[in-house]
Amino acid sequence: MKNNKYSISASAAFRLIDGEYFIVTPGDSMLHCLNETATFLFGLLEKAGLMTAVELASGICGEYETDEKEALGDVEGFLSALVEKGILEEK
Amino acid sequence: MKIFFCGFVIDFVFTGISENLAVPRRWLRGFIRKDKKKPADFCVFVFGKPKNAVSGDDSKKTAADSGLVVSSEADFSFIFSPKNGVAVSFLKPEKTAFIGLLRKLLPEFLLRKGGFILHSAGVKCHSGGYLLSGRSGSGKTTLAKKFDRVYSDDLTPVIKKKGKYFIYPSFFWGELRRGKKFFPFPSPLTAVCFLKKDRRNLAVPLRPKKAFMKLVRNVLYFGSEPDRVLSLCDEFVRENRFYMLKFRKDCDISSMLV
Repeated sequence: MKNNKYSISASAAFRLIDGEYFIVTPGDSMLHCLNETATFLFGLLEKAGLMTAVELASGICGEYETDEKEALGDVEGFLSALVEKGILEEK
Repeated sequence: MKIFFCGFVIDFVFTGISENLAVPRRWLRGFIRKDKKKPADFCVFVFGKPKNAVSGDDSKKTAADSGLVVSSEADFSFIFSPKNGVAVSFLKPEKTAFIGLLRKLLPEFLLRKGGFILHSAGVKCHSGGYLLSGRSGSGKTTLAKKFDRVYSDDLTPVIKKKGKYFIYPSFFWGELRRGKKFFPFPSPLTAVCFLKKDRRNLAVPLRPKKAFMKLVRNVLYFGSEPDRVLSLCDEFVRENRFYMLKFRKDCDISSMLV
């Protein structure tokens, strides 16, 4: 998982409203709201296009006071949840 | 048969299906017009066979890649070309099938004209239009009953024309049914209220983020282009007023909407 690359699925529609991302998955027409940390990670993915879990974790460490191991665990949780919902794609 | 909806003309052409069997004319009364002069904005060819407009995953993907909108349900299916405003549909000769087709097709049409259908009661109060939005059981019908001029107690279309949002009459009604309270003329939108039954009567202004979240959840169907719906909602939230309306069943709703 660490070295796999992730990108935002082309079919997911999203908007940044008042500092939080709102995402709609067209398959089930569900609206998903991201919290502050997830919004930060999603923003990194939107900017970069394609990122690994390690790159995202180092992004978190640059922004929040957390160690890399803990950040990587959080990132992996974020990635697997969003891949499962069809919001992100694993490459 | 031509239907006037939100100021647009939708021309239905029936082939191999009895119009009388398929069309719930009483349900559509007031919306069917014989005006031949106004050209149609959309045209729907209706065929009387309940088959899939496009079958097979590959064909569906090809259709979607070509910008076509495809939908298949048990008693109807359609393929819609937004480019030229033409839809081809296959329908069971039953009135419920026609209503189902309209529920799915009209949001697609409105989307191309800058509008959407909101799960809400639409009412005219004082000189403005209000949308009282919420899911089933939130009190839309309860409050709509208190008004003399109602657009719908269930699904109300809203559309932007010349920089202003208007609410329009609908043939989609819930418990209240269309009757004496039905108001046939559009109104400029004054505010959108999300309903919550409470022990107090209180209107709390909503922040854009909260309003956006509630709005998107109550828009009828995402259809083929969720991104376009999100853009519309984003713009709609920025240009309108939103409230959380906490109310008791016996509230004086007109005075709360001033």
